[in-house]
Amino acid sequence: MNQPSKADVIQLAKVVDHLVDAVGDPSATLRRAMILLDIDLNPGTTLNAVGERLQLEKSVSSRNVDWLWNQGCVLRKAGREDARELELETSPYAHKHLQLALRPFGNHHEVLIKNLNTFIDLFQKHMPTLRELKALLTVGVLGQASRTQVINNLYDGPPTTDQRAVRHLIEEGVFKTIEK
Amino acid sequence: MKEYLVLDEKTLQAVHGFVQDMTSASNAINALGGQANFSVTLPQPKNNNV
Repeated sequence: MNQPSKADVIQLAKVVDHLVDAVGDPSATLRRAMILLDIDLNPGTTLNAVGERLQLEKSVSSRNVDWLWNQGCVLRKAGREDARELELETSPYAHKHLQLALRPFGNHHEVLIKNLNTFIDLFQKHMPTLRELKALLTVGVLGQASRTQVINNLYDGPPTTDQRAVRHLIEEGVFKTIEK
Repeated sequence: MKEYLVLDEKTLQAVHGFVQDMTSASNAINALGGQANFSVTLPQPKNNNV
């Protein structure tokens, strides 16, 4: 298969940067980004509804929504019909960054959610992070890249974190190594 | 000899699919005369715990 256009993959890498800005952490999993997108698409939704749409167990959606709330990405308020069931919406800050991430997709949340899910399915051992998706797209832009080139395009995290991300991608078979 | 990283075939297909979806959306936007262009003003970050 041919390499995709460099400009297009750079555009996708920028989408990941905006998602990182929205959740405030490159170590956030793609699942968390998907949940945030789903809440943004369905303001006033509930935990149960998010879980049903994304086919997540309640404990998984609950844990991830708690994390997003702690990050300041999600707002919770008492439900209008049942005060015990909290309504969820994205914070203005997260919403604006999601708008930037969604711009190349014509603001179609479901398209971005579908593609994030496709990348999750590439991983067998662990849930991929936005950092790992950025690393993957960096190699997509360059065609082939050294570990240093990949790490230099990440998010100024601790070197061990960036190295671990590359190692995960090799272990998962997402990256192949060649010698020249 | 130097080590390089490349994408495996399945990952490359996923990237292609991602690009195609973006291109389709872009074409749809252009067909509408670029109406999806908008400006965004970013508010300051807020943490619920603060």
